[in-house]
Amino acid sequence: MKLLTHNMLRSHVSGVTRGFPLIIRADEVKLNSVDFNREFVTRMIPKLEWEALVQSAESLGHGSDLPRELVSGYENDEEFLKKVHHVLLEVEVLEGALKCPESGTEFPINRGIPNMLINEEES
Amino acid sequence: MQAFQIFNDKVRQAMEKEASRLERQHVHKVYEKIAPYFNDKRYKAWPKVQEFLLAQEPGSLIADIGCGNGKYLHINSQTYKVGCDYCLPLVKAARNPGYEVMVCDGLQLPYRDGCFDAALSIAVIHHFSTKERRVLALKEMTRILKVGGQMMIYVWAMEQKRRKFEKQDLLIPWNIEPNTKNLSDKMRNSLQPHLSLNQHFNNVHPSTKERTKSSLSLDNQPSLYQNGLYKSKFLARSLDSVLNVTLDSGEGERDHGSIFRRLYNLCINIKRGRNTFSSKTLPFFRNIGDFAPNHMQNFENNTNTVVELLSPPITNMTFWKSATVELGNDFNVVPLPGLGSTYMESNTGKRNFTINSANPSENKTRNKGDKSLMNCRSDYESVPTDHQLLQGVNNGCLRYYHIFKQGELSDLIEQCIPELRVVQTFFDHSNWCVIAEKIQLPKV
Repeated sequence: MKLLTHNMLRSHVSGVTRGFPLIIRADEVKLNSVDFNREFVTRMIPKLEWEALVQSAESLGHGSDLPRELVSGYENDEEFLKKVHHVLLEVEVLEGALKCPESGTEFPINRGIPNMLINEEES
Repeated sequence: MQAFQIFNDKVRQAMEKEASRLERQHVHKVYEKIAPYFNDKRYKAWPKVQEFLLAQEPGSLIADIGCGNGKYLHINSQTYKVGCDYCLPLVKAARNPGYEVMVCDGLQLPYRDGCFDAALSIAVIHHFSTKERRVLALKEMTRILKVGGQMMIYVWAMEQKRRKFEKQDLLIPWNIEPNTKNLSDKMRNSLQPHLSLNQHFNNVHPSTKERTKSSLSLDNQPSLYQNGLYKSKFLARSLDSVLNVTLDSGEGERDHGSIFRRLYNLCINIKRGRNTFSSKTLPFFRNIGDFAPNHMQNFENNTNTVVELLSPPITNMTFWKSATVELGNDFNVVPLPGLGSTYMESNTGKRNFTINSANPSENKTRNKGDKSLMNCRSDYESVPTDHQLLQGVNNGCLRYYHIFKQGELSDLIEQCIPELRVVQTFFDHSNWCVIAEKIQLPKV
């Protein structure tokens, strides 16, 4: 699970109002090398919950000194865009869990796959 | 009206539980079993889906809901795709090339509101066994889509050239499509691609239909109740068509009335026969008379009969069966000549599966390898050997499908999801496809 994916995720446990961001408990994090695509990153930034991204990256120890608030004019800041690229696409949680900030429900991550099923149906 | 609400909720809960059980048995479990046999090489992305994905702007976020083993996740590298599916083994397969995937329920997507630019639902919605759940799945997709974002939905179509469906709700044996060299002629002639839910009933117990007209004494057929599979089959039809519980509980009396009318009609039919239900433990329907408002209780003073008749079946789900039996004729579509299927359970409890075709020539026509059909999701999985096939059938690898009629999907969207505007609808690869856009609703 990349942090870009994590930025889209929320808890859907019933009764939860916001359920975002999910708290990451990482047992294994992998760093991948992904080709930098400036246009992609630039277009992606407005779609993000920025604060949650920075918070989550920091919790994994990969904050990359990203500012807590988005600074305007970032489109022209190549260094900044590369940092965002790294955090969004190159940091991957392979093992661990996602925890709902309100209900405390945990969703396991195994081999990079979050399991977001709330409760297994009885067979 | 509060009593109605309670009653309505109870019916809903019962339906939900059974629908969920049916899907667990005949969708989730089957996919878990057959996942290892999926074969990437046989499958080509449908051009229309590819086109849709390629039309998305660079930097788009795309959700593939029900991504299976991730067939569409590689298209358009300028976008970011997140796949999800209920079936873990398939998600694992999709994960292997490194795609972003997760396990989740299509009825409870774990995504933020409005965060995706586009969404895909390829051959997924037809696996939900009630209209309510199909709409819920569509609503969830709508929720995660941004305003102006588009979704593409494919569902299996009734109006196929080479497959004829007798009913809309079917259990279809996995990969039964016999256009393969691996199948012997014998298998080819003996297998049919689908089993009608109702047909089983009629064929397994030919006398039942007549009998139920005069009596609903199903107690005489204990074998029917022993197998979960059986229950599911009856249920699949009845869930959608019998009670037709409306989607919005706030619709008012008309809808409640409709439910009661159906229950009432059902009971009238039952009453015409001999009432031979034993008085077992009564569930919530015991109190139906209490829930029903006065004006509804005056169906020829039959409310008590309703209670008595309905209660025992609910306990073991025969209510749905009996309802199916009684109402089945109303919902039958044109019967298909030449198809006859029998699903029998021997006394030993071991299931035997035999299918007879009264018209083998029709099989031959269907069996001439039709390449266009090979592209359908239900066809692209690897072909099992005879052994696997038999095993599949014996293991209950029957997938539930709701086959969509022309216009049904777009009607469903237009009637039930005001935030969606149907942009395009077409027939492609034996499926009905709808492209719909999320629009901004005026705030009231």
